[in-house]
Amino acid sequence: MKGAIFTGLAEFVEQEHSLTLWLEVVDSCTLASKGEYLTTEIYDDEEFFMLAHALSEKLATPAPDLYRGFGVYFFPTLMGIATKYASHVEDVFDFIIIVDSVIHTEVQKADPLAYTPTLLYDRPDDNTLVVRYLSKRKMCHFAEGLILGAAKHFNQKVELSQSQCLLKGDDHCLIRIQKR
Amino acid sequence: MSDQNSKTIDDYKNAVQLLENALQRERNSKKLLEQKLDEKAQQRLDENKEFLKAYQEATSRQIQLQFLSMLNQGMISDRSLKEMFDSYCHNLQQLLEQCPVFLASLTKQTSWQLQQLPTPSSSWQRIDLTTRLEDELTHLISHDQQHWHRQELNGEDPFSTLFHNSTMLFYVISISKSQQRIILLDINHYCYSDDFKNTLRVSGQSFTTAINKRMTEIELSYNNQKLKHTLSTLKKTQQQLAHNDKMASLGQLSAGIAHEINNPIGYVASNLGVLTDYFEIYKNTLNVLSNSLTDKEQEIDPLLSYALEDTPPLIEACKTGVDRVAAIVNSLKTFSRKEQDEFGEVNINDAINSAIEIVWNQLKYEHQLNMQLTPKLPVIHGNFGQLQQVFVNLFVNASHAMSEKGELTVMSQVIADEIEITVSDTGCGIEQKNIKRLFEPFYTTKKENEGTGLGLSVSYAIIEKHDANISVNSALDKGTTFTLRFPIPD
Ligand code: HEM
Ligand SMILES: Nc1ncnc2c1ncn2[C@@H]1O[C@H](COP(=O)(O)OP(=O)(O)O)[C@@H](O)[C@H]1O
Ligand SMILES: [Mg+2]
Repeated sequence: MKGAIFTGLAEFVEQEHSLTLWLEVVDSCTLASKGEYLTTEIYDDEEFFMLAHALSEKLATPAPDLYRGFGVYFFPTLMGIATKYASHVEDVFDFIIIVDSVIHTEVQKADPLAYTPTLLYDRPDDNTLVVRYLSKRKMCHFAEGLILGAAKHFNQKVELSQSQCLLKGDDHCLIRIQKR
Repeated sequence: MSDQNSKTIDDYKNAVQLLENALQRERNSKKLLEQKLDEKAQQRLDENKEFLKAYQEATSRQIQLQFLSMLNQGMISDRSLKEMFDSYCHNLQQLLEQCPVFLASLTKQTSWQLQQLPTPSSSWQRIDLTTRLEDELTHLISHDQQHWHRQELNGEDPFSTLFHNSTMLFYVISISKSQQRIILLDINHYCYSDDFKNTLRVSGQSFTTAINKRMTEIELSYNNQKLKHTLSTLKKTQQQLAHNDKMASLGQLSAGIAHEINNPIGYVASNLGVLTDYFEIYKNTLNVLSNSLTDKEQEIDPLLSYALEDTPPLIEACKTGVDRVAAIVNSLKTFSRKEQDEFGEVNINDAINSAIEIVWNQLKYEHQLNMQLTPKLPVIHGNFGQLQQVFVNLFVNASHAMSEKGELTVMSQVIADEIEITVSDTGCGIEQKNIKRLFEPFYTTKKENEGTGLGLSVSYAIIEKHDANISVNSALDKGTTFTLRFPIPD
């Protein structure tokens, strides 16, 4: 996983809680990187899961909530990189739809070692978007957070529900987004 | 707190502040560095961009082609429609995460049938239709072809009880004017790439094309068959017409001739009888007179006695000739008789037996008779005398065809709703080219005195009147079989 996600997480903890909490969490995990992250480097996915797990324990927050919260927090950072691909976009659905075909594709091209999820879409009606999420990392709740972050960015209200989930053993996650 | 302590705390605060500043500087410089690295990567990327884009497009095209070629394998042209639908539905199921597939068929514009393929390993299962489902299918079929349509099912939808999922994709295919199908997919989601959706659409279109092509082939071969059939009926009708034409004109002709000839023949025949009697008188008178004649007068005698001797056979020959003419005229009457005179219940076996009795005296010394009549045949509606005439004609022909030591076999049996009579001989047979002419009036291969060429044509007319038919099977030098089929009245 890209170092940017790790540094983002560190920032999230520092902002929402405290630097010391982050330092404690890093200390409590045995990390090959020793917690020294460079945004451009790639680190073992396992490190992220360990950190997130330790955090959720320390804060007594369920992991899905933690991932979701981090996603909402992290979206503006990601959006900062992506503005040039989404300058013409005004709607959250239109934006989410280009994440797979444009934004993640660009990420992939810039760093062939990067791994982004596969996102597939269906728009049964104007107010509904279904996102099929496929990834070895099973970080669908992080995706949910990013989606909520995106809605916030475009000043739109959405509600999310998942009918199928990789974490429950399904073949994919189906995230249904409903505009309110 | 002591001074010493507060100083230390101030020092710490100071140190922390300094450290925090240092950390911030470190962070900033790190970010700067990372940004530079990113820019480098971006630069490399821009150089490769075009190539990568082309590569990506090529791979998605390839996936599409792969799926379509897999489909095409299921569409090779010797497959039946059923096999084609089978193969396409299975392919769709595989493509769409093993979703249940339904196939609705509409025949004759009114009657629906619904089948389901629940999983790839199962086979088609029939589903009982409710009127609500039928109405819904009738609604779906009105959607245009060449597109996948989609419907979200709510609890009220008639399909919601059959479907596992709430999304229905369907495709309408028209096979012919009276036959239409709908393929319905029970899918869990429709989150697919544009390429994938496009491939699905193209597959539907190429499937429709394959079906249409197959239908054209089937229709062509069907039309061809129909054409062939029509042609053969036409030929038959043509022959029949030609034959009927001859028979009809013969009928008209014979009605007139029979009337004109019958009278003269009648008095010629009776006059011949009277002439015979008169001749006896002349002869007796001459005998008496000759005794009283002078020698000189008797010189004319040799001529006279020759005339006397020759007259009776001449009269006899005339009688035979007149009888023959009378017989022909009588036969001709059969053609003109339109009314079904004296039709009633007839046992064909009886007609056959009586015909045998008439001709057997002629045949018994030369030939063998083999009778295989099924007893207790159902009676038919017909004319005994006419049928007898038919069999006499057939038996006489058979005996003419056999030189000596022949065998005549007559069989009768019930086959389905018909009585079949076969008359077989071991005679000379008939050349293929002549078979067509057998039933023509006046067609004969016999010497002038032996055949009139009317036997079979008269028989044909009689058989027609009985709603029966006659056919011939013959092998040269082996023999001939005439087969007659009479309908059994209900
Ligand atoms: C609502 C919009 C977005 C969603 C739902 C989304 C989803 C995700 C998720 C779930 C991951 C975690 C990796 C995984 O699950 O396998 C991820 C990774 C990532 N995303 Fe996004 N993303 C979105 C927007 C963006 C944007 C705007 C950018 C900006 C360039 C971006 C860049 C990345 C990068 C760099 C990674 C890390 C790749 C790696 O670890 O190798 N994403 N994204
Ligand atoms: N059983 C038979 N075997 C061979 N030839 C036959 C037979 N029956 C009829 N034919 C042929 O059909 C011709 C027509 O028969 P038909 O109409 O009865 O007239 P006819 O017997 O006066 O010739 C016969 O001259 C003969 O050549
Ligand atoms: Mg004859």
